[in-house]
Order: sequence, then structure tokens, then C-alpha cells
Amino acid sequence: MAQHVSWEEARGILRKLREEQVRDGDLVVKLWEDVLMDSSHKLGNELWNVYEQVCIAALDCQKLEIADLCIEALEAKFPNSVRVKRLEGMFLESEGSFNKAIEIYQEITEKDDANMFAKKRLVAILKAQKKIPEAIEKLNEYLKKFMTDYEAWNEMCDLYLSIHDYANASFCLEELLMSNPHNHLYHQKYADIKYTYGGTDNMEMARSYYAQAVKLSPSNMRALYGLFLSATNLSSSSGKGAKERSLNSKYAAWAAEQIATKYKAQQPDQQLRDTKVLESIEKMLESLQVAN
Amino acid sequence: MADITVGVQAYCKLLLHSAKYPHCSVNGVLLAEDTKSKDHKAVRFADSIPLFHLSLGLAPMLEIALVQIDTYCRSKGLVIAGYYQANENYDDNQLSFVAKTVGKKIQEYFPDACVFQIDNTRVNPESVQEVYRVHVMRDNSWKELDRSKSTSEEETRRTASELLRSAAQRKLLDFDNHLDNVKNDWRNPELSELIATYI
Repeated sequence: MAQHVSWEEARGILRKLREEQVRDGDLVVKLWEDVLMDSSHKLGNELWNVYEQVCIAALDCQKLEIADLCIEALEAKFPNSVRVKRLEGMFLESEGSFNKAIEIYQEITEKDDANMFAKKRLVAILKAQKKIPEAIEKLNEYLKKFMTDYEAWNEMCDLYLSIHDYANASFCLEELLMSNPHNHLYHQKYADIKYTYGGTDNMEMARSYYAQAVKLSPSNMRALYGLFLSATNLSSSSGKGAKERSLNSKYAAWAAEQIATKYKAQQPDQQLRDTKVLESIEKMLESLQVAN
Repeated sequence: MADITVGVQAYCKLLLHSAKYPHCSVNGVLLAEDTKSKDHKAVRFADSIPLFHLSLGLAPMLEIALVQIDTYCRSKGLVIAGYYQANENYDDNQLSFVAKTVGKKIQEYFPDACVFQIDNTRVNPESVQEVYRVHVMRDNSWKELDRSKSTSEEETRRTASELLRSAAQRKLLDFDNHLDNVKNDWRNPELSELIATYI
């Protein structure tokens, strides 16, 4: 595939991957090896960003010789660079030499306490060693200093989810919501956590946040499904009065209609018929009516 | 205890799913033919449906996926009979809480259900045999099944190897992809056809 791409196209693809922070090591390495390596002199100053990107991609694919070449080139251009040192640390990590990597990161943080990358790599090492409680503790320390680091809050949330600590996972998402109140994905993930946590109060919260996510982005299918499910659950909840249950049935029915409309508009007929999506939604709606 | 056979469609798709998202944990379900007979001697997994690579531990989308797939299955004489998972950590081969819980749910409807724990170290073209460890429910907990009881054909493994070599995993669509854009078909009909051409 990569052979049929021109060097400008390859450069464009790498730029896009950097901007959108997509993790696709295989593609990056192929584009480098098949296309850009021979045209690297045409890249100008962008070459150094590309070297860094290819290095990390190569580490992801365990192509350590390529990573080594990139690091050498970067070291020659930027001797004593902390950014290059971080790559050396990551190289050691990918070899499994965690202790040596930790030494490098600690050297970096001793010289510069505000170096976020080195601190986060230390957390990543703990995660790779399956030391989840320690990773959480270290990330907590980090977040006390760098509380606007969204990537870190997201990672923290996922770490808590991996040990089923839904309360703390919610807390992480709340931090993200406070600083990004218009991000429909955060509303939806928060709702997902509340739903999973369970219980009537959490179910109601989930429904509210799903509704907000739908309001912010009417095409968020997960939010629509979430709204449908949470409303369905609440409509048959014994902790709720008849009026509330009936309201929730209406919400569920509305969500189901939105979902069905989107499927009919976007899916080809054959697929729609074969996968029986509409039938499965009907089925869930029927169980709603039975409960009421 | 039933003997297990994993057909080429099921085998290849679960392998390709793991290969598509090497940095994530992935999961999915396996479908078996719904034989109404009481013969529990053999379970043949005919196909697999890749589910998620994001937030495996969150319930709502899993519920939706299972209802949709179940409705689909009934119309095709299939039944959800297994669950597979590949963990995020490279050498983590433990059944996670999610794997055990979903597995249990499936087992309630299909007593011979299996949980396939994928070994990340074997997801590459050179070593596609023994790419998973099969677990079955015994005395209320999941126990690893003896390797002799689970088989896949040589042809199946060869096909899987070829597909990995040709980076076919990029063609695979899971339920997460479907939720991003409902045109994405979690049955993977094109991939199924491609797999069929190798046999």
C-alpha cells in the first residue's frame, strides 16, 4: 500500500496522525520505510518531528533498529536534549529494561521538576509492570501538580475503571467535565460509568448526562442508546412512582425513535434487514410496555 | 464435557481483532450452531463478532450489543456460545473480572459456554497455533480446558497466518466501529468472503 503513495502524501498522512494523536505504529513505520526515508532531505525542519514520530511508532512495533537510527539522528542534531533523552528512556522501556529507564526519567525530573513527560512515563512503567495501585498513587501525585492535564485525568479514570472503583473513576470524569462542559464524549462516558455503577440514583444521573450528550451531539449513537437503556431501566424501577415511570417510558420511546430513524437513514436496507436491529429495539420497547 | 472446534471464520476474526488494536484490550463473542439436540458432545464455533476496544468494563454498550447480536442469532439458527478477550498488557493472561462476568452471563443461556483468553504473545503470523486458552465453567468457577479437547484445523491456522501477513485486520469492523458509524457492519460480510476464498 505505502509504495503507491508519493512523498508529499506520506508527509501529509504523518502530519494528520500527529495532529489527531492517532496511534498507528504500523502505518507510520511503513510510510517511513517505503516512502519517506529516501526523501527525508525534502522535509526541511519537519524532519525532526517525523524522526520523533517514527521513533515512537517503531518502538510500538518492536522495530528497535529503526528507533535507534532515529534517536541517533536526533541526538546528533540536538545534543543534550531532554526531549531526545525521553526517547532513550522509552527505548529502554520497550526492551523491558525498566530500571534503566526509571533512572533516565529520574535524572530528567531532578533537573526539571516541571517535566510532565518524564513523570508520566514513570506511571506508564508501573502500568506495564501491572502495579496498578502504585500507578494510581503516582498519577495522583502528578495530578496534584498538573491538574489541567486532560490526558492524565482520562488515564486515571481508566486505571480506576480497571479496578472497578467507579466512585473515583466518576470523580476523574467530573474534573474533565468541569473544564470541558461542552464535550459530549465526556458527558456520555460519565453516564456510562454511572450506569455501570448501578442503583436508581446513579441511573437517573446517567439518564441526565446521556440526555445532555445527545443535546450537544444528536448523532452520538452511544448517548442515544444510553438514554434508551437508562430510561427503560427507570421506567420499570420499583423505587419510582407511576408518573415518573411513565415519563421514563416516553423518554425511552423517544430515544428508540431517534435510533431507528438514524439506522434507516444511514444503513443500507439489506444490512438493516439482516442484522435485525429494528427488531431488537422493538423487543426492548415491548418489555417496557409489559412492565408498565 | 464437550469437545470444542473453532471454525475458520470465528478463529480468524478474533485473531484479526486482537491484531487491529495491539495497544488496547479487545473483546468479542463467539457464535455456535444452535443444535436443539441434547447431544453435548461437541460445540462448533462457527463465527465470532468483535465487540469493543474501548472501555470494556462499561455496561451499557455491552448490553445493547448482546441484545442486537442475540436477535440476529435467532434469525440465523445461531446462539451466543463463547466470549473472547485479549488484555491490554502484553503478558497478562489472566481472566479479567469482565471476562468472568460476561462469560457467566453467556453460560446461563448456553451451559457449555467457553471463555477464550487470547495470548498476546502469539498474535503474529509465525505462531498462530495455541493463540488462546479455553476456559469452561466448573463448580462455579472458570477452569482451563485441556488442550486436547479444543481443536482447530491446520487450514484454519494457515488462513489466519496469511491474513495477518496481508494486514487484513485493517478491514475488520467491531461494535465500537459500528457505534461510531452505523454503516459499519459488525457481521464483517466482506471479511467473511475474503476468509472463505482462502479455504
